[in-house]
Amino acid sequence: MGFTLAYLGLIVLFPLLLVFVKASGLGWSGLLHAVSTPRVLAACRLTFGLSALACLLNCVFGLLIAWVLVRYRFPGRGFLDASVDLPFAMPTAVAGIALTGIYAPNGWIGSLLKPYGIKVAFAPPGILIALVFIGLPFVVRTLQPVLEDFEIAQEEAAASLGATRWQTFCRVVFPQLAPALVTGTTLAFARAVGEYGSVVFIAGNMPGKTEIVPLLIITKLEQYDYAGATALAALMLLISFALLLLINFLQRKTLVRPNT
Amino acid sequence: MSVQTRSTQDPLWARILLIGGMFAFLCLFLFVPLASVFVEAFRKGLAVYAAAITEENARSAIVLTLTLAVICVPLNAVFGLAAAWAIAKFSFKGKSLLLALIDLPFAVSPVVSGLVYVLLFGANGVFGAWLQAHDIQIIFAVPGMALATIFVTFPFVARELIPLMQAQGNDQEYAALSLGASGWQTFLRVTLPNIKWALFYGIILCNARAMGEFGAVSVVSGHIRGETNTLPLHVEVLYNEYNSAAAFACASILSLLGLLTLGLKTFIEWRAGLRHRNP
Amino acid sequence: MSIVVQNLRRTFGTFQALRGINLEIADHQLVALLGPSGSGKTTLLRIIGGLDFPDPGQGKILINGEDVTEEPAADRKAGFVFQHYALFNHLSVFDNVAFGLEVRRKAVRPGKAAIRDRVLELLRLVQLEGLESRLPSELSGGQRQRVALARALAIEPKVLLLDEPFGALDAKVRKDLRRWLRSFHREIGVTTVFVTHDQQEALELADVVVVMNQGQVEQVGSPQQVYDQPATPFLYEFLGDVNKVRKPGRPDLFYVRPHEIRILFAGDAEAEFHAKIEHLFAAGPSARLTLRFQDSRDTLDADITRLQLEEMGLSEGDEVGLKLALSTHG
Repeated sequence: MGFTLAYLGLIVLFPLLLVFVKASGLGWSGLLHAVSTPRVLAACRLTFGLSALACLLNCVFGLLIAWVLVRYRFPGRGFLDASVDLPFAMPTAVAGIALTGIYAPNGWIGSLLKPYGIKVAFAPPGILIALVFIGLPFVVRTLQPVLEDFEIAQEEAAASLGATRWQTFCRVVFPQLAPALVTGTTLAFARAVGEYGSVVFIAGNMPGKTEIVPLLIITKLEQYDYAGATALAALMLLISFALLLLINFLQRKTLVRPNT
Repeated sequence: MSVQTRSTQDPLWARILLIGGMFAFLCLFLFVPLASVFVEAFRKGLAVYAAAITEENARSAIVLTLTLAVICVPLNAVFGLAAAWAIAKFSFKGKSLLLALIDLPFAVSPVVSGLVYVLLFGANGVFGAWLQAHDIQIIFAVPGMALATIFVTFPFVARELIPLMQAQGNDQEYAALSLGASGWQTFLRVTLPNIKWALFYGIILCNARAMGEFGAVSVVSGHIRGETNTLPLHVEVLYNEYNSAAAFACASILSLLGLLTLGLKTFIEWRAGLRHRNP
Repeated sequence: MSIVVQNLRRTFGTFQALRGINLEIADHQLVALLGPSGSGKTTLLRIIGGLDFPDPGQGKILINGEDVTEEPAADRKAGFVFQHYALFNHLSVFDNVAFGLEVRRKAVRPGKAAIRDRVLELLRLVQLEGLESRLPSELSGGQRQRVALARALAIEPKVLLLDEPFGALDAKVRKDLRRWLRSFHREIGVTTVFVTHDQQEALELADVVVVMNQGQVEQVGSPQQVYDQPATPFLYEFLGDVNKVRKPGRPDLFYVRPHEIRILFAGDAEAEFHAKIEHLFAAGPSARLTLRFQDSRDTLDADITRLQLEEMGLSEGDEVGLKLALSTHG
């Protein structure tokens, strides 16, 4: 027991408190000033905006994938089911260079889009794709247990009462999936805002245009702007804490626990 | 699995559409990128590939990656066991806080994780002066990278074990103790066998993350070629030098690690009858 | 509405759940499908309701003379009540009951006010007025079952199908609901078929009992008929307690019910057999005697009234005479 607390205290609490101590060394006005420069604001808009969009996409496709994997039978289902965890098992840097390679103007897909003037790599769409990639498992894996446990008799009841399959999905199944869907999407969002490795290669990293917040923190560090880096990190930490609380709250509310 | 009858089956056209959509999505986002790693790695031929992964800096990167895994995984496994043991078998105040703290590294950006160690042990950090005086190097050296890796990977084992041990309860342990077994014996002969698959599972995930971690170690490493570059960092260096064949060659090794992790994960899930879990 | 089942067959893989069922249920009847697990009664019910279908070309279902065999559940207007209620957990009681009306095509959907009136009327009928805004999780088992019933009735079904309606409830609640269902059925008059493995329930509630075993209909009749005149040994054993007795000198077995045994004093001239009371159980409405025959080693269970027990002053170890009304043979 003591060992656990000591370990936790040493490795987690102390370092994190430190970030805030350092950040508050700036004073509140200094802090606000540091996080409201145009460059920082642009990075925040980019990171949070694209993360939100990415997890919305993951919401839709994650639901689709979970539904297909749980409800339908077809060859290769087990294989595809396992492959959903790929973004999670793969080192982020590998994902980063792979996606960049494909969507770069001379890449497999990038070259197909070039004639239409669509730029994916080194532009926001590229970042979006990377964020969708890494968030995918979260939504699918949160939904699957709920779908698997879903009381099929409710769907039969709806059918016996005259509902079509679409009505049954909209009125009976989806509302009961919604809590798990929200939880999974929030998890994907939390992951996306902090993501570095998968994004930094494909982003292009132009300040004000394609610079994500985690990269900005590193850049500031390299320029010895410790105060600025810390302020930004404190902001990210606050948001992480808030998301963590939200996720725990949601998980308890829906009784969606990762393990049985 | 819920048994579907005709009254709860979706119409055929819907099924075809959705399955097709899923295939398309997964191909585009998963399989094409994965394939591209190997294609690009071997683009310039086998000789170039072999050279890239046996080159001196690549080798030291591999060694460093393995070293970090060897340090961090066992430590976090022990911690995870201890934490799960404490949480499952005892009642105490602040349990939910503890649980939330264990989940913390999942919600924190890896860059921020690395940053805190720089703030602690860097030249201008809290302990910076003291460390310099004693000529101890943590940041921009292996110890710092180990610490950062421990931080980002410590929840994995704990998260797998806690719900399981909570669900299993104390009955078997009490029975063993009442039959005269010592605490240690109880742990080895009763507790451990019951959790072995979950433990193995957690270790696999912990290892995958430890070897593949990029953001956190990037911040603390200093990118000193041959000394403080793990394999993922080495990939970045090569890529930024436009040496893409070598970069993808090293990346392919990491991909194999990822695929191996996936395979083991699936095997354990099948073997232990575990359900799908959250990453 | 009448229900006619013709030559129904249903196979799951290699398991034959229904092996050619023929059945006719008249309008307004309350019918029990009774049988042990695996007898096919639930499968039959589900096929009548449109939740399942017979093997291709293997049988027909006619409701009110119309062939509905290929009609899906949504079109069949057969109200179904599930064993575990299958209420929509996220919807209030009101929305649950209104569901069948809300999902109708615009052309046939009643207006909001009409729906409201109908739902409230149904809730009154099942004695749940005032609970419209509750969620299923806030109701007891018996209440949930009644919501399920109201929900099924909202669509004005041609037939009402209940799958082990009281299976998940406490004994006391079950008894009360049984009584309630009986009078409820008289009031609404819809042809009702319910599935049960509880023979007490079937015999008490139904107008007609259909006993099924291993995918086939064993007997159809009134509760009295089925109990007093069981057509096969299976029925004799399934419906109520039974003793298997061997008549001395004869190799074959006879069936006799515990209450059909007359207990006489040992010396009584009318006694056909003699036995010793091995065990006496009198903590109930009647007394059960476990008797061991003198000349063979068979045992017999007999039920006598507590009154008779006191009048005869019987206790364990006593010897008594028996007169058996041996009916069906095994």
